Amino acid sequence: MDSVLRALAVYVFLLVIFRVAGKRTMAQITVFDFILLLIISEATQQAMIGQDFSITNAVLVISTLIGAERGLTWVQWRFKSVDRLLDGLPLVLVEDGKPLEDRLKQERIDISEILAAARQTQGLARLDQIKYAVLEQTGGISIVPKD
Amino acid sequence: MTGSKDGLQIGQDLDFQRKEWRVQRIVWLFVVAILVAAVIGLIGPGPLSSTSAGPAGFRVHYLRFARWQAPQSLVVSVGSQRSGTLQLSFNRSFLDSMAVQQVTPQPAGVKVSATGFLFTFDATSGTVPADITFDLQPNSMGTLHGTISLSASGGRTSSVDISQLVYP
Repeated sequence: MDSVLRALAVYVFLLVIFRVAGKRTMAQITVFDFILLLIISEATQQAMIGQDFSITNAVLVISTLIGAERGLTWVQWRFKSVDRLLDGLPLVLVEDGKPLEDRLKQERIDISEILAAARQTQGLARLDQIKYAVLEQTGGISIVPKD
Repeated sequence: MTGSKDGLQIGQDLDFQRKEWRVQRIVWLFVVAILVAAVIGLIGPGPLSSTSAGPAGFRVHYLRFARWQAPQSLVVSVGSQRSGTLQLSFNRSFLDSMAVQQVTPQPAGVKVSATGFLFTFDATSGTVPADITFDLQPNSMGTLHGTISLSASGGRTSSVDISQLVYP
């Protein structure tokens, strides 16, 4: 019982903290984000496993995490309101080459990040070549070029 | 707002987005508040957590806020006027919720009774005043109430009540 509850508690906490941290938190993994990820996993592991290093415990914890993930995916698919609550909605950041400053500010996205996405995915050189830039649910920036 | 004017088919909802930003800010304030509380010692060890109780000559230093299965020390300071045999007793429910990892100095004997645990220390006049350290690890969560009594050979018995909140 203990390990299942521990794993669930950690799962829910991680869900909430990464949700409120914003979409961009782990979208582009820089070297430092990668290190952060390792440290977080180390800190998480202690809380989930505790002193019990048995295989039984590992099986229970992994099953709980995968089960929670599976269950949540189903709930999100079944109920769209839960989906937007957990994953958020896409957001237009640039419209017809004009950056929507208040949204960029709220999401703490620099115009250079949008230009980088435009270069990488569409080979665009300038902002005015962008018809739409969208911050997706996953945290990535997608670019629609002007015709 | 599904579908922008130029046909961008997208499930954007600015009202929802604004709510999301507001909630994010509120939750972050809450997280910061928790971190500040942790730094000042309201969640586990820290300045506001460390406290002591009892009269001079029998002071119990302990934590008001502890965490489940995290090691902590409870220090009993015994004054210099006592010598001979020192007996420290803990009420049963307190030590039943704790794993006693180590007692320093080692007690000469431990007795278990229906009401509590009795630790006996041999003390010559040169060894006191002394600090007796109990390294403990809470096994249960919630509020724990402890009563610690000290009786020296031929002396009076005094007791100290402590209470500790154990976080999960």
